[in-house]
Amino acid sequence: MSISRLRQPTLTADFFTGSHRFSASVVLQNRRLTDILNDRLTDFLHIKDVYVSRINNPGEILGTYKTATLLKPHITFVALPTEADGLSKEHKYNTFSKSTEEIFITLPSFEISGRLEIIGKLDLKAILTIGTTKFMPIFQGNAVNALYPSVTFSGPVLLVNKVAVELFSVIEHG
Amino acid sequence: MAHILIVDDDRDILRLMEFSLKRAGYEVTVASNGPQGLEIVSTITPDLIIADIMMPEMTGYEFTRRLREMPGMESLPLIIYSARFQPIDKQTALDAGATEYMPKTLTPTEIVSQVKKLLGEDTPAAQEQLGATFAFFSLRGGVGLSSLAVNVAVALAYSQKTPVCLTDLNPFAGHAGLMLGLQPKTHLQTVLSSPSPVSGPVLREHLGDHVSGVQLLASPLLPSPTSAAQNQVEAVITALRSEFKFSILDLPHIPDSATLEILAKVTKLVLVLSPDMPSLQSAVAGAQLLTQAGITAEQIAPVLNHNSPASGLSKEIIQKTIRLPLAAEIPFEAGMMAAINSGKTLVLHNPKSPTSLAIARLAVTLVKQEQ
Repeated sequence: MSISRLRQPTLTADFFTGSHRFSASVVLQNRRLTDILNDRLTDFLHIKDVYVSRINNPGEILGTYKTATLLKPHITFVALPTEADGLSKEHKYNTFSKSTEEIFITLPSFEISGRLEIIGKLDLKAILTIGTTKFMPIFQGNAVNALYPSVTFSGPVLLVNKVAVELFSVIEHG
Repeated sequence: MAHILIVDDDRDILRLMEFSLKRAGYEVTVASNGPQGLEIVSTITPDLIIADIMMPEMTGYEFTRRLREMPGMESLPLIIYSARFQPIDKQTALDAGATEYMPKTLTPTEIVSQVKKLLGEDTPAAQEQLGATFAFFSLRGGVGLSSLAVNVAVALAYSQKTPVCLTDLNPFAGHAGLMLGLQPKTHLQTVLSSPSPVSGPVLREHLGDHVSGVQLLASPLLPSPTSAAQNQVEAVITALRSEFKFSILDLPHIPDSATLEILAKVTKLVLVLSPDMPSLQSAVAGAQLLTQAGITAEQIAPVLNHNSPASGLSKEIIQKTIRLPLAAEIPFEAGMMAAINSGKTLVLHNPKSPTSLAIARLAVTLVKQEQ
């Protein structure tokens, strides 16, 4: 058991917009953060113990707030502390038809690279179609800020907002 | 005993950290925010501070900066730990004056290990000041491991004229107490389930006195509903080493993960085998297991124990098969059973027998090799 898991049912993660980083906790209520983000019934995400930083100086904390609401469409991606926190039930239990592709994505202000696990046939359009999931998990993800390339973020899982994707490409080797 | 101050606004995490560090033998003070932490530091000087970043009244960065401005606090070991796990967070913490940064994804055991590292408790110099630990091990039962461990403990206490601690690490139904003729009222699990952190003085309250000078930490008679965590066993071993010049560990035949983890910390592993093929096979497997656990060949002392009058496999074949020289060969002694049945150790009951003399030589060999 890691220390961060003791405070169930909350999960602390980094939420990114084009201009800010919010380190905050989400009350999970027996759900995974992916499920809460993908919940189509609401565009609001209630967060608590919020620590705000500007994207050009992401180590410095500008302000802290006990509670706040984030608008999901403005989140570009979320960095999770462990891989298990980012797996949806679909990804967790489907082991036979899964394949992995190295991908490169651009978002407003960010370039993201990492691994995408695909269930079934590779179809870029189908992956980006919102369907039931608004956020897709990118494993071993690395995010570079396009305006300040020295500013980078990484994590075992980055949940990328499909609506914010500008370019989506698969890296082909050899 | 090192004193640690933890500063975190999360009560759950404070409790968990306090529990883990106290279990590891540290004195712990807690503060629920940065200003309170600074106030505590102005009255007491801890040996190490652990502080969270995300605290509402004062962030961990600000706490660190203000702490470093206080007289005498410029180089106090300070660990910043946080749910913010990006490389920039580590850099910001170090820039603010932290000694080390840890993400909150670490387990309490890993945090205790970092604390030890920062306090210099895992350095070779610190290890040298601790007593020697000799662990007796065999993957096969019935080779006379416990009787050998008990007799070596007694021989050591006599020859070195110092108390020797014998710890029976069998999860339950260990026989060391019986062999010493002791009826221990407390045991290892009593120590581990005690609210007091594991320390030398706490351990001493749970030891049984033997006339030879051996102090026994017995195993429970029946299984415990909870198994010992790695850091708990480690804390017991560290406390033993700080209290006794020599400690003997009677290891279970099937070691659990907590036992395997501590093996690398012992001075010598006495690998006990009898002269028969199943025992030889277990000794080969045991040596491999020890190597995987980080034990070097120099740390392994194979001992051939003739536990029956049958001659069995030769010393040469055994050495060739296990690829290690024997540290000792203990001859068969018909009186061993009688000594065990009467709760007297052979080395006291019949000190002039060839077996007692071989055991005494083994005790001397272990001490010499350690020095």
